Amino acid sequence: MNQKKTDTSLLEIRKVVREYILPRQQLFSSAKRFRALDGVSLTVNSGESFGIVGESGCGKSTLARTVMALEAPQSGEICFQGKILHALKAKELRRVRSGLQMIFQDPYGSLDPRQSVGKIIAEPLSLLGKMTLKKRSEMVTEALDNVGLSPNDSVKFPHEFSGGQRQRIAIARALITRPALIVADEPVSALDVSVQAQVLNLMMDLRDQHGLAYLFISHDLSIVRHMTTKVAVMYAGRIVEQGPTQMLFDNAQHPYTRALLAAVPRTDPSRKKSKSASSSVPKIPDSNFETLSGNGCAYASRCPLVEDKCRNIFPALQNIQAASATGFENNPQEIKHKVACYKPYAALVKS
Amino acid sequence: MNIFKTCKTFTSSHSILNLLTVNNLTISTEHKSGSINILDNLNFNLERGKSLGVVGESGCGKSMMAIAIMGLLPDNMTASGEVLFGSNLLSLPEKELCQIRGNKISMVFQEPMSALNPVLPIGFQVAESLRLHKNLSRHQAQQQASKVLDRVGLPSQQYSHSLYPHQLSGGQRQRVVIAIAMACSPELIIADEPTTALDVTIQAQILALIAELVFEENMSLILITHDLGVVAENTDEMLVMYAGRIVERGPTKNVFENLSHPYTRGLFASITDSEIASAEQGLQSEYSQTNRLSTIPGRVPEFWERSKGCSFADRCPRVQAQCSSQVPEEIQLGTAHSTACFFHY
Ligand SMILES: Nc1ncnc2c1ncn2[C@@H]1O[C@H](COP(=O)(O)OP(=O)(O)O)[C@@H](O)[C@H]1O
Ligand SMILES: Nc1ncnc2c1ncn2[C@@H]1O[C@H](COP(=O)(O)OP(=O)(O)O)[C@@H](O)[C@H]1O
Ligand code: SF4
Ligand code: SF4
Ligand SMILES: [Mg+2]
Ligand SMILES: [Mg+2]
Repeated sequence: MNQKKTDTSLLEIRKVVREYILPRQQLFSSAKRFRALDGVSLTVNSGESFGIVGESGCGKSTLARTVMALEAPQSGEICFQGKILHALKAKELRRVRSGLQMIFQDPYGSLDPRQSVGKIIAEPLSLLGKMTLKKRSEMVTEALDNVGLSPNDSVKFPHEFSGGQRQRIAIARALITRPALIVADEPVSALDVSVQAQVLNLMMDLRDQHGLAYLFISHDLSIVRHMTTKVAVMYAGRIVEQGPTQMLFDNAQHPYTRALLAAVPRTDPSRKKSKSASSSVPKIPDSNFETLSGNGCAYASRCPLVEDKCRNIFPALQNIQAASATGFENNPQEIKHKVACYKPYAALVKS
Repeated sequence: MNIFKTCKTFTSSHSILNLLTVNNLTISTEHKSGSINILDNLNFNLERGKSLGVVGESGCGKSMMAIAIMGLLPDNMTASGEVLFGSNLLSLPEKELCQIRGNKISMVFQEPMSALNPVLPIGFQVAESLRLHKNLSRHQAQQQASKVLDRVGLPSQQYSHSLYPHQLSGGQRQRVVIAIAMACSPELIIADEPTTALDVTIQAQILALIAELVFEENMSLILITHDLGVVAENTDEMLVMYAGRIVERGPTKNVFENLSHPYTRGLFASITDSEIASAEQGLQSEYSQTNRLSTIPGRVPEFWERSKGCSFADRCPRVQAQCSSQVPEEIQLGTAHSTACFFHY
């Protein structure tokens, strides 16, 4: 294995490709392949929160499942704590998996309604091998305590809890093996804003107390901005822009990132469109990733800046030549602000 | 250009400004301990051509209000008060209500799939609505449906109108639902979380589409959402609901300029996006510390758990003894802006 491993890099995703075979349209037509992930690379260090944003269908959940080794990539590698996940034997994978847990979006569907909360939370403990009942129940109590629930809650069932509390239960289940990384796939999207804030605060506290790292997936840009220090914007299975969160949001380069940011409604009534002039909303067509052809920039069909070149060759992720992007040379842990576009915003402003 | 006018038959019997007037609307249901109110004495007016935003966390009664106006309450609930839309809809027989629903008042729901029939082509579904209410022939209805689908951004050159719902994306399906809602040129559209299930980019387009259609047709709109940003950018007036009551209301601009109810301020402060804005309004101090997100502690009570006095009391940072014994009445703060709190800001 020829890798440059630094002591803090926890998860390395290298050029991961994940394809699905689509059902045949006709009996004798050849089955079509669909690339849900097309060469995704990123690194998450210990104790840091890395955000993934993008519209539904861009491949966020596929990335989560692949990182969790629930699905194997067709090519590329997922390396967790120095081990390539899909090369491990089942037994060793189980051990490594205890350091890697997941929280799902749906607090209703992700908890088995027939199991008591105690059983649900204890479930990942099987990854750690044999354990006394006493130790088990101690760990359940501790996990409940960590997320602000009471030990008595362990005998209750999921339906007795609100959405926010269910998500706490899901977090307790993820925490119980004391993982180094939690993959959180839209962890608060199903909750009210007021409750979202409660769960997000809990996640931040746990990060600080336990030195957790998060791969934090969300379509909500303001949440990602608040929760993460690094971020990658995905479109049609590829990363189209990445960088330090603050820098990327303040200085978005890719037309897609800019469209996402512009679409977030603000609590400012002066932004109310003068009714007939709702044409001010950029008319980006709906995403329709399925129909994409292999070559060229996937965003071309929606991009207001598209030119011929964009349709022929996919633009590579490249460093932004802005002053703001320098300064990380002597710190290889840091992420550089990169964009995959022939016409990044900085270039437009210059000309 | 104005295609909806072509099938408009309804002539309003009341020429006053208000299209919809809700008086003392109360909805109750039997619960263990007897009859309990889910909605408590709602009052509001909606002028023709105006848009009204309704915000609050889930469980506050927003959908219940919409369903009551549409006359779609489940059998185990009773409504009292008045919903004046021409006549009092609450006392109208079902047969006459059918003439109003989908025709003069339409609804757009959060989940487009629940409003669409999965086994019928989209063009057919829009046409059915027209045939039902406008006595059009099959052919006329189909032609009209095609125009309506064009209008909502699904032109037949690009999107065959014989496609089925599952062949469309979430945003496109919501466009079909809007087409069905708009087909008969209703006077009032009630949109209940129409974009909650959609991506932000698509949300912006769908809201823009609704705003544009409502404006061009001079329709009125009730836009229900839990997103204050959506209310700010899309409505003229707003109501804030909590636990079945209206706790703050007014012209959207005025309410945002002076958030006066502790609940409204809590909602506003919870939004990650508004950090800068809330710092300006001095909201950080009472609801949060440093870089933590502001939260409203606790949760919305179920309707059978509501306390005697102000139902926000157990979550409120300003609560005092009086709050738990007495229900605060609405207090007028300025032109049309009012708040139901003893110790408002
Ligand atoms: N098991 C599967 N078989 C075929 N296609 C799939 C499968 N899972 C996901 N996809 C497709 O892969 C793409 C990415 O999906 P997903 O990762 O769920 O996106 P996101 O989480 O960003 O919304 C979508 O177009 C989806 O339809
Ligand atoms: N079919 C029903 N039967 C009994 N109670 C209901 C029903 N639907 C909703 N409720 C209750 O009515 C209250 C208001 O709910 P709802 O109008 O759906 O709120 P919102 O739309 O603001 O989320 C809640 O307490 C909810 O539990
Ligand atoms: S490469 Fe071209 S089509 Fe793609 S985002 Fe940039 S300008 Fe638009
Ligand atoms: S009346 Fe009292 S409890 Fe209710 S919102 Fe006002 S201060 Fe808070
Ligand atoms: Mg997903
Ligand atoms: Mg609702």
